[in-house]
Amino acid sequence: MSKNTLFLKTVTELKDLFHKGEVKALEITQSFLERIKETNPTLNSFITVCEKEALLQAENIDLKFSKKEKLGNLAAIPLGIKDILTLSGVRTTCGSKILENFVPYYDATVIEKLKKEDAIFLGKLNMDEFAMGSSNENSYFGSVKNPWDLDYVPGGSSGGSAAALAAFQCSASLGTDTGGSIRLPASYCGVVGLKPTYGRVSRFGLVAFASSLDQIGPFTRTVRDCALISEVMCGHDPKDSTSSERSTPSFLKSLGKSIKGLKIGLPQEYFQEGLNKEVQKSVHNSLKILESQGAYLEEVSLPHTQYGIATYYLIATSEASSNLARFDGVRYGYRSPNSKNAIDLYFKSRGEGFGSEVKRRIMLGTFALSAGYYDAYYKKAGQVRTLIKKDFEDVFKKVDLIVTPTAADVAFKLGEKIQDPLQMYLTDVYTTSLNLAGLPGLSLPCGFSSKGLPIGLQMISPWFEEERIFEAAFLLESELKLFQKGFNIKV
Amino acid sequence: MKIDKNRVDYVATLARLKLSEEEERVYASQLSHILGYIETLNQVNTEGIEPTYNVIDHKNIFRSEDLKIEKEENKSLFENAPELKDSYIKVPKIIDV
Repeated sequence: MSKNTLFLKTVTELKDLFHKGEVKALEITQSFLERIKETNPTLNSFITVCEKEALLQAENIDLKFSKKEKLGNLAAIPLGIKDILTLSGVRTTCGSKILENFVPYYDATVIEKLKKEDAIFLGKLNMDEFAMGSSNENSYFGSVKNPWDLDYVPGGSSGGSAAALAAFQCSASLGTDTGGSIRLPASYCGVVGLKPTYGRVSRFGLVAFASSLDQIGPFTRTVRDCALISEVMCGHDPKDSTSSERSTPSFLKSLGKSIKGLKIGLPQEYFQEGLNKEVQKSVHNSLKILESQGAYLEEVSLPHTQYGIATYYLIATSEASSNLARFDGVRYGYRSPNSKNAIDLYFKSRGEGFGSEVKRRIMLGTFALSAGYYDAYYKKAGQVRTLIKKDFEDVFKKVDLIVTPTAADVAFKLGEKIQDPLQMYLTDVYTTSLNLAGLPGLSLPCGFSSKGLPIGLQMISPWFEEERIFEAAFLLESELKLFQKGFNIKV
Repeated sequence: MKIDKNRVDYVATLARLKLSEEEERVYASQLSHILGYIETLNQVNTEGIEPTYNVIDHKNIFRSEDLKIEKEENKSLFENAPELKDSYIKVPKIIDV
């Protein structure tokens, strides 16, 4: 391991060290870049490392610091970015051959906000192609390995974001969540991951997968870091018509607040058959802690839970089939060299440029929207979506927060589910309903299996009430004291 | 619903996807399997239920028509084009005569 071990620090610790003048932005950045060089050949979490740009950014920040110029809230904090968000001048591949050489000329709004706070961008992180997958095995740039056991998947689709953070290649990262793509990998890799309320974060500069579901969120090592970064990311953006005009509260102020009297709902449908016993035990242990802190536990029911996956895979693929129509080999992206005429160019560029899972989903979505099937599939899914959302509305009349496992099991082995798309889809059984309803959800590490793989717990609050999640998650995290265990990774 | 090879062909044409024979075979079987699962939705009585396509209250926002494209931006856009001729994106022949 390299001598400079600044990469082991949290965002909050690095921020403190830098502001006291004890370390330079350059030292921090070099530490992470060395760590990436050492571990990336094993993990494959970064698609593109921006070494030159990151060092230049760090030097500029140090210069500003020495001149006592005003610096942003995340000065000298090195981040990794899922390769589906545009960072000006750096290629954005979406894990796809079709965008292998695509270089955007503008920053996503979240990137712009983080830049304004002087964060440093280490590079772009691996992911399932166009965010379609639960294991990160669908990337054109190869699978990502789970830092806790290299034979296991990191979860998907933001697998690179979770693995890179768990392996200390960055101090925090950004991911996106359409059906669980932040929470599932956070759970599998033992880090904190938040999907904010739909509309909380601008999606301008996010390559669209399913527009009524997609949301951007942070991966961090601690709840405090998550609150800190989320505060920067949230807020209205005129460039995204779906971004909410509500003001962002201070999430940091929620930390340390008492949860005495907080009513926590436990949906019975999330604790049934199919739930791994070790996961169940860990979650129950956490619930006891929350109870001892003054929260009330109450069993509730979300009766349409079992229809979540089917509804999700119709809506997500339908929207994707439309969103991905823009990749046609004409204006940007991969163009097949074998086409005879313009129409042939569409067929071949798309056929050769997209990977098998993306094509499968485009096919499913196109079918669901096609004449004669629209009402039976797409409209039906929209109606069930109404019922799923209503389930949550009803439950939130009775409780303040919902707690569930993030996933029914710990990470699975590489290759285990790749031949059976339906089994892969079912991995998201506890996460997709939140996207269908637009709700926020956070995955917090709550224990380990006997094999040493991390277990995640999911907290769900009502729409735009993320503060409640932060209050409860911060308390639980401080009682669980799992932080030191994060150093036991295998890379 | 069973998806056969003809249906796969038809959907692939709608989606403008050139699939290999092997892909067509695999997708026919996988999509049939997935749709079989999806059809569990038929158990849900949705009579009179309005579909949800957006979870937040959407109001239409008109953007003011002051869109400006900077020259630099214009240049960067072209840099991603697969084939250029002067300041045009080149494509194969569209109409066969």
